[in-house]
Amino acid sequence: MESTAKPRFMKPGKMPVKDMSHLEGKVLFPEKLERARQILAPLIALRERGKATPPDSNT
Amino acid sequence: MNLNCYPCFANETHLVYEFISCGSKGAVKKVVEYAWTGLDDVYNLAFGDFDESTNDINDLAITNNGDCLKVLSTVAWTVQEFMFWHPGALVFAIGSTGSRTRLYRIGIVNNLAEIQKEFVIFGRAESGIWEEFVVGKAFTSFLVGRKENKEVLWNQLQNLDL
Repeated sequence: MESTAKPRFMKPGKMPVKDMSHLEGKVLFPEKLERARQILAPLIALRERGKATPPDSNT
Repeated sequence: MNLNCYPCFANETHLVYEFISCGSKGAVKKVVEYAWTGLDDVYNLAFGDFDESTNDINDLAITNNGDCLKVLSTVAWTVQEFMFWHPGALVFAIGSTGSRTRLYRIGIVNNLAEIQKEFVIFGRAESGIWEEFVVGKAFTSFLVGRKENKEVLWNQLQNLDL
């Protein structure tokens, strides 16, 4: 039976690094990335508007 | 090492992680990816099985390896590790299917106490409205950020044109 004990992670920043060049240089899950972009489109637009709006000169 | 997670490795950029799921069906290599969405600090979390014979990744595979909670805990651990190396990032997650999204929710609930020490999680309801994650409510996707960015993020999510 699988344990349901609550996990405690090791200190962040300590995970070992290994060469994964065979997985790099491409998007591994392109369909999910596209779906994410569609859902996040309003947030992206909102942030772009915020960047494009000049600061209020009265402040 | 956390006994409830599999040993896990990161690549040099800390955008890709891999670990081996060991269960009733044998050993299955899992890959976790944080892909930049094009929005300055938002990354998409995805994970699936890696077939070394074909170099293919399958995020629809149902491994049934009997270690679902341990796999989800390991993925949650990669979130913490990713956020350590990319502290300003937001992580977006959506399942490849409805049942996979429910699995993500189970993973969040099972790791919630540990996650909430440092992070805030927002969930997107079927209506498209974002709200802070609560146990027992169905969400279609998730957004994770650092606690200190909660207010800024929340203000943005409340002002979305939906």
